[in-house]
Amino acid sequence: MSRTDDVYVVGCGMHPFGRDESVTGMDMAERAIREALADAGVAWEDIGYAAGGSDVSGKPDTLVGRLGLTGVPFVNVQNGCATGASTVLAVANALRAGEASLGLAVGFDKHERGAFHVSAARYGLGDWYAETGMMLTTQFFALKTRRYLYEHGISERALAMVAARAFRNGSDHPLAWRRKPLTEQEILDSAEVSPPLTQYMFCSPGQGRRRWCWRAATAPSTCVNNRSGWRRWPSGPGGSVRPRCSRPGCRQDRTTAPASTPRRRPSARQGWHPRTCRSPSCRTPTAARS
Amino acid sequence: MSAHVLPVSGRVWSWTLQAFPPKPPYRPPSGGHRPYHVGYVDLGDVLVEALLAVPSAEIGIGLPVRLTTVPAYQDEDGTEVVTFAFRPDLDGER
Repeated sequence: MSRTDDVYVVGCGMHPFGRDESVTGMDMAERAIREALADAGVAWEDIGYAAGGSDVSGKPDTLVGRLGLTGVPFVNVQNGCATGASTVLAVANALRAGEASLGLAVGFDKHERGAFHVSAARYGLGDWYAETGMMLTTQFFALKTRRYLYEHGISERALAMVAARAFRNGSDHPLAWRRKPLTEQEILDSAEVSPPLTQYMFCSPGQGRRRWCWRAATAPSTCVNNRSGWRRWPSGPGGSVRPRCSRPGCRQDRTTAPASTPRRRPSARQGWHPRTCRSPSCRTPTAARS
Repeated sequence: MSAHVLPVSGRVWSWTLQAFPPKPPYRPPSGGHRPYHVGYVDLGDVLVEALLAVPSAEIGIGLPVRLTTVPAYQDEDGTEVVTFAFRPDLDGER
């Protein structure tokens, strides 16, 4: 199977991460969507296909009650930590299939403090599994991580290096959940959760999320479009959509974001024209205009 | 689908420590939560997730272990409920 139709991210919006009891998950989603629409310069009525994901903070398709009963097909996605990525993919594939020319993907959540606790029955498992203390995502991550380190000869310190980089990136982002940089040693010395993982190697549950952080909860929203002439984000290898934002805070990894990332490539090569993001959250003009 | 009898001994494939008390529906043993080991045990055909009744000094990937039972929690009527676990298999080390 080959995919030939390019799909582009043409606008994005994000609600700040953190804990704010004055807003609901649905409030965050609405704000992120309105920001994304404004960023793309389109109206809600222009959206021909939508998908949304949330684990515990609302039924995304009911956002039409706030945004307008346009008759847009709105699909709910619930796929654990992969909900955000699955949602973006659902919209991108719908556009490739010709369902619409402009789509919207949104994800949001609010979680209580501490590790998740869920009903074993909901996962098709017996109650004994949770009652005996084995049904924790933190354990699962620790077990898989330890084996991975063992098989590939990676030091436990490498985990702290990865976490330190994430905190460093967060300190650059005005909407990030954690904005204080931490040293590798501070991360290694933080509370033991499930060794080899310590407290600051996890994304602590909150509301909103950093888009690219695994197991986060977030309220980003993305407009996806398959027409040329928009701000064009080249699709990635194999035709997969590569959502990227031109805002500085959207950088996934500044240590590996060299001049070769699409947003910095000469536009002539990609047919892509960066422009200043209009979201309130990104006042700083980003890549040099070309 | 038919039942398949698994071996009672294998080797630790990975392990961790449950350092903090899990939220309900976890039921702590009488006396409350104490950090406990959890791991995957490689039984040849499959990996099985289980509690590991193994001291910190001995635990590690590759450790031979054998099926056992450990106290899980006390039921409302006072019955002690046990669950499966794996302990170090001294014979397996020979």
